[in-house]
Amino acid sequence: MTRKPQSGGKGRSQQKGQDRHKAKGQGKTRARQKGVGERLKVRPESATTEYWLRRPETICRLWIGGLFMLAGLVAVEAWVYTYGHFGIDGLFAFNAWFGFASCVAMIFISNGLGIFLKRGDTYYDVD
Amino acid sequence: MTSIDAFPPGLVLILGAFLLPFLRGTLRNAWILLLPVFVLWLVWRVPDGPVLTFAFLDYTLTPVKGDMLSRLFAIIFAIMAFAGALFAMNQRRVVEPTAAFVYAGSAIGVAFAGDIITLFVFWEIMALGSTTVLLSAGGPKSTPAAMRYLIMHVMGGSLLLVGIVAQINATGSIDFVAMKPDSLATWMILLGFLINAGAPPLSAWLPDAYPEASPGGMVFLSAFTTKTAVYVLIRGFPGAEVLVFVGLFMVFYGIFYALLENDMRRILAYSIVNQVGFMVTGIGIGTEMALNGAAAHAFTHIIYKALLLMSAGSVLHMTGKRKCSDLGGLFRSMPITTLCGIIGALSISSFPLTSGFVSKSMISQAAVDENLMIIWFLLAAASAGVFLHAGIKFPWFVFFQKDSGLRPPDPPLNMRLAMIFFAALCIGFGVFPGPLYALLPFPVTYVPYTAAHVVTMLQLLMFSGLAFFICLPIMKRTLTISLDVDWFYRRLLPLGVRKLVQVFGPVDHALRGAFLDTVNRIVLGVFQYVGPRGVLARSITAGYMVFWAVALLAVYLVLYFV
Repeated sequence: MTRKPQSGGKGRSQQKGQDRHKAKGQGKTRARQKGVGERLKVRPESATTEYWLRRPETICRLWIGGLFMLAGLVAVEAWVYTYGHFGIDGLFAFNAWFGFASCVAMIFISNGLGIFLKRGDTYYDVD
Repeated sequence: MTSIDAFPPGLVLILGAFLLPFLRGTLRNAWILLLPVFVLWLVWRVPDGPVLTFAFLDYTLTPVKGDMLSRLFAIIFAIMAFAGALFAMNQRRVVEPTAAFVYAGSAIGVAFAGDIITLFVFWEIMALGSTTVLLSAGGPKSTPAAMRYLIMHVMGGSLLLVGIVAQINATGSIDFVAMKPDSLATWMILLGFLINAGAPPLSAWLPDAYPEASPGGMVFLSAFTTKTAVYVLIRGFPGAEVLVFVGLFMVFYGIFYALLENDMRRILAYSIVNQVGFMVTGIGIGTEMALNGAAAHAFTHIIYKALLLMSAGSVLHMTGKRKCSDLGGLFRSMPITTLCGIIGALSISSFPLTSGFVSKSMISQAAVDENLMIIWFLLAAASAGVFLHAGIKFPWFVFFQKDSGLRPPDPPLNMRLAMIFFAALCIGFGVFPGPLYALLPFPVTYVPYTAAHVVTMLQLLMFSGLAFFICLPIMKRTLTISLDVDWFYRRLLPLGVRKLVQVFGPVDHALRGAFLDTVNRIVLGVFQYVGPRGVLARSITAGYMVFWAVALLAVYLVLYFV
């Protein structure tokens, strides 16, 4: 059922390609081989073993992209008129900080409740 | 109106379900899919006003009475029966689809009930149908869970029955009309409805029972019981202030418990309580906008919650695992399930262009219209919390997070089609809310898509997402459950009974011993007279008998002459 990492398969096909080119013994091809090898060498270890979405550099890019998107969502409020019915909800980027703060609060409250409420998942199985 | 229109649509589904055990192969599959479609056609044709009436004792029952609200709920129940049947079609057990159709049919029966006696009858059939769905899962945990579920619903049904009888006695009417919780009778009816809604303090029956059903069973269970409760609350108790507080409690109860939970289906079960809380709050606010919002949210909730549970059910079906700590990285091998799960998660979070966005925001708007500031703030915080526990937590821990090493493919075709159908409805109603708004009980003037609403909602949700990923290190999954009110009857009550036995056992033993000794002595005493050697049971010789017969005759002669 388990599949081997895709990058592993790619590496094998590149190796086959290198052997074929070696057999031909052409100078230009050797130069190209060297280039491929160099590219493989400079890639981080994770790039050859991890799925692309799990690589640290992809996660880093996702974080940067996400933070830019969040900044954009806040900035767009300068052009979109958001009417605050109760006063405080008319503050700049109210929904952004309110959403963030209430979620952090809920996480901490639930963790606090967990101290008293959590039990092993076989709690009701044992009599 | 033809004769077929006068037949209760719910009863068609219930009676049709009992044909399933006699059908096999293609015929059975065709019946499973066509029956709900036929019932949907019947539901669509139900006109306004009483359709069918008949005399029962001193009352006139109205099993079918149509209006916009009834049709809205009956339509979504029929659609749900179709999609749920499609999802569960590949399983061999015949009991589950039969019970599920009885369950769905009785929910439609409740939606069209024109009087409270008919309502109660279908209400109880619903409890039996849903218990059978749970029992048919057949696991070691599902039977005790089903029994606890049944006890809870029998208790709720008893409260409802007492309330109904008292209400009929007080008013002399069996009409199911709007009431106020101002008498013992109406309070009993309200409590009976609220138990089915998963309201406090007995919310625990829902996350206790539903996750023990089969993958297809839980999809059915998520749709009918709590949503029929929402329907009867909209019709029976619109504007009852107590419902605002009950609803808000349910909203946050669902969030906190779902955040603590490790089992993906229990997360979604707590999430049902959370979402029904939004609806109950809307019913408590009670304006046309709020009631439209509650009804619309019940409609969309049935679709996206079923989609989420189909997604979770597919994972369970393909991996046999349901704990977040055992799952992760499934997006690579289950792309359709992942995509549908994400669409369901975005819908429940009221993300723009999904069905939740056009329904839930009506409840918040009703709070704004009525100047209910604290309620609005709590609903806004809860909307962020929904994205936290269901919008991100569920898809993240099941399909992403770590690589669990599991590489199951997407589930069989029928399960994929059911998910794609409901995912399309989530997007469809989100992009084009008009057809949904046209079905609502009151005329809709609300416009969900304004630039300000889209921007503020996106800000709320996206920054909730940021909070999730920043706090991820303290949200690691643990192999735990969380104690709930069910602890009282699952642990404390048996423990109390055991302690009572320990304390009163010796006393009981002594008392019973003394009683048995007394009985024994009496028996021995009687035995001395009537036992084989007793005076009264002794064998007597013929001569002895003749002697006594002659003696008696002699006495008789003496007495005669005297």
